[in-house]
Amino acid sequence: MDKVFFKQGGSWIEGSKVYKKANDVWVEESDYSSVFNSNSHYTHMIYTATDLVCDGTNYFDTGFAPFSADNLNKDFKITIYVSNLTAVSGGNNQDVILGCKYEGTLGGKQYPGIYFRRHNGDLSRFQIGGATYWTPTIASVLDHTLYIWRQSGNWYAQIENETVQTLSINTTTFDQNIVIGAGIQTNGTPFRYSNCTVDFIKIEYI
Amino acid sequence: MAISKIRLNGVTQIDLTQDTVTASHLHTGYTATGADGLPVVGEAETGGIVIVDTIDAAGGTIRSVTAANSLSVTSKTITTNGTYDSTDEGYDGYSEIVVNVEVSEMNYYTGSSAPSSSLGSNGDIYIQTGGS
Repeated sequence: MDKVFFKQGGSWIEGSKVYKKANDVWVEESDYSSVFNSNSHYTHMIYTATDLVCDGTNYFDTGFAPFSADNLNKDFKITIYVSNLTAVSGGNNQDVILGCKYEGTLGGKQYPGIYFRRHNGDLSRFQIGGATYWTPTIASVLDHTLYIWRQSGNWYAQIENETVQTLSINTTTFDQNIVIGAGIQTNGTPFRYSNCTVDFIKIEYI
Repeated sequence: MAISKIRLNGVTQIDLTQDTVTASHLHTGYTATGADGLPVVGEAETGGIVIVDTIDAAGGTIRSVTAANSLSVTSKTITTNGTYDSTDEGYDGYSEIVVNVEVSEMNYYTGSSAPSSSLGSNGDIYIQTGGS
């Protein structure tokens, strides 16, 4: 019987089953050698989507909770391309494009988690916790590929090939998924909706 | 009639029959006489770029070869990671070999239960851990 392993968080993990999607249906495979193509590069994908329209009233749940006990020490990377960002009418210019934040104090940390959001007039803000952030202009972020990643406990952000921003970690364990297009309050209610198009996003383990 | 060999009183005076020059081996702009006694007009060029498009069994594709002094190109085995055996005959005179290996981008997902139907695209792979 073939076995399949994948490496995650520095450890090899054995898979119990392997599926391959064909004709929009997941099919369980038994012959692993025929599943994997030696001429292919495989990305350990967590979530991917294209053309997500955030209209100020909706949001998209990626299903991935990076600060959960299972995922807190796993390295991952977000690649996102945002366009058509405009302030939500009646909002407070803190419209959340992408976020996973505990809206309060938890484990001695204020507002643990991450936000990528509008920050008043012409600025956006990539924020770790309550007080650590990087504030690029909206113009520099829109219509460019933005990378956000966590590696060995540090957070990094980069607009295409520009300088990598390093932000220290400020977090604790909590079960909140990364959400696109809004923030989520501690009672589960969405707020700080955004108006934008996420042309492309992928979240992958690195 | 073309003449390639002349003998006088039993002695060979001129013999072109063993000559090996051909149009492809003679530099352009030059002429010679071939083994058959007919004129040979040079067609060979140096310093050009020879484009080869040979897909080997391993999937490598030779897209271009820049030849400094040679136009002699033969098919060679290029591995999928783009390496080649430089001691193999036929690489002499190459200043550069460019290899583009076609690698497809695939995704795989992991999870502790069976994948949901909305996850992923055709061709993607899902590795389940645990469960039954």
